[in-house]
Amino acid sequence: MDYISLTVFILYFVALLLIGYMAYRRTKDFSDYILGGRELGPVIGGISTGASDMSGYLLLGLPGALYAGGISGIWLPVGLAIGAYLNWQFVGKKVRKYTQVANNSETLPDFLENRFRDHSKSLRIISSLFILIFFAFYISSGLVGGALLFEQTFGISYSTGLLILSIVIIGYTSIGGFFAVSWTDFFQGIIMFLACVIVPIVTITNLGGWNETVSKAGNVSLSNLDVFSGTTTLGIISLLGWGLGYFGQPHVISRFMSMKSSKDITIARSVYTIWNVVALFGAIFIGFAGIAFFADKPLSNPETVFIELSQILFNPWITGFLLVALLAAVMSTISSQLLISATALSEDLYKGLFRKNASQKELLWVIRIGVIVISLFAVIIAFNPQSSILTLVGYAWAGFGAVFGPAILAALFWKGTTKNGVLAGMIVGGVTVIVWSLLSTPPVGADGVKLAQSEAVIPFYLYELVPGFIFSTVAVYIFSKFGPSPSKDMVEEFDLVKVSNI
Amino acid sequence: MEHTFTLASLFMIFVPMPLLIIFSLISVFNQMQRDKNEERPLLKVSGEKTSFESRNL
Repeated sequence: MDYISLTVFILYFVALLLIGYMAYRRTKDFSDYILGGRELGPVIGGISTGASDMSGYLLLGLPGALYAGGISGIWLPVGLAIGAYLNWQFVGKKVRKYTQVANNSETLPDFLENRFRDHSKSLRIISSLFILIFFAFYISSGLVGGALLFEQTFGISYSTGLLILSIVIIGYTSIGGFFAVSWTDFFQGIIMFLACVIVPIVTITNLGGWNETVSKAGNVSLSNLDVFSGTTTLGIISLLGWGLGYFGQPHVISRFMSMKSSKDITIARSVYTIWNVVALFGAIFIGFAGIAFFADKPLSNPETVFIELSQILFNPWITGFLLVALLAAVMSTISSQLLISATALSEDLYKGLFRKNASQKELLWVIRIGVIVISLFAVIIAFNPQSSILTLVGYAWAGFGAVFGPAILAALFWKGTTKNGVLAGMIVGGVTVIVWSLLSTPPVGADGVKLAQSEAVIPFYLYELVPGFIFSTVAVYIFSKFGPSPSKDMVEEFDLVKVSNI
Repeated sequence: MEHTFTLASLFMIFVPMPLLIIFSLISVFNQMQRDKNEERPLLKVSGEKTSFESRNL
């Protein structure tokens, strides 16, 4: 067992729990617990959004893709960076203003219901269920990644790692709520940022500098230096299309709602963009430099490139810190998703449907129990990392993007949007993502190996978010245009938001 | 032989993502300018005129 790394991990966990306790002291009511009383500042807001948005993908998947395929792996991070920026640019301020004007909505389902005067509760129920189901699998998948890291680093069993990780996350999220999640995300975002800066710089320096690194990667294969290597037009559209997913991510939208004012969002956008671009570049060059570093002895699993470099190039204390960064990437995403799921359970379903006049104290109890129940559900699924149910996570990013993205954009920017339009858009978006994904997956042959793409019902690959987003947008438009028009007070409220200076 | 990135690769590395940082900083700068302009009418309190008012008098 690596005792130095273990010490660093324990110190990190203690820091998280301490932050959770400080947040508990600061939380006065239910609004504080779910949205921090809309008091989030731009620096913490920007960095914590980045940390909660970037999961283990930042330090495992992305460097792994660059290590395996060279610089052509850059399309996906470029798509993500552009999508995230556009989301901050167009959705951030408007969401902050509109959610306050629309009956002080504190969650996404709450906003949709208030925005469209939906007395049937159908928007609230469908959006809450979608959030609950997909985030539960997302959380499970994150726990699997964290527990595997424990297993590999310390040689402890997978189940023990899973339990330790779950107890710490449940601990600080349930006691401290939104403040705990955003403050720990900020703290974890700083650690992730430092790791993304330190590892590529040290690796490239170790290899003799930039030119040497590029040249060595080219010696391994010239295709490593060509951004178009192994790509197709639809493939590039698919990779860039990942950025569309940002418009519908509930945990990102909730950060916008929690900012102190819409003016702070401009500053937070800069903080976020600098954090995000530098972190993505760091991850890109960890993978790319890894090609040159491991040229003579290639890694069997490309996704371990960050872990291997951390263990080879640094002293054990810094290695411990870098491995904590990997855990931070996983944990910061899980805690945000956990809080949003518990909010959907307590605020959107429990209070919204059954106990409209529930007291603050009652709601705080319900949401804390909700955090624990959802975590337990996620832990049970995560106990079997091979479970096929975890493949559902593959739908989650595209699902959120296609279900909520066009609905939110239309609700914010088109006066003519109606409840029917949004409802149809959400359903069409969700169904398209699942059906498209199933139809474009090639069948398995008699030998158990997947056949070529041309054998699938849809004989070409296009990331399901792209058609899902397009079809959902069309559905929002058609059903809004041909159904009953928006009411007079909805239109007046829409105009009020335009001139609002919140 | 010294290998290097293709031109398209260099473009993808050095253009789209750094541009986002520049855009975001420009928008912060613009907001600061707007805030400054909004504060200007306060000068009236101390008896001074804004340049806009001077031109219209």
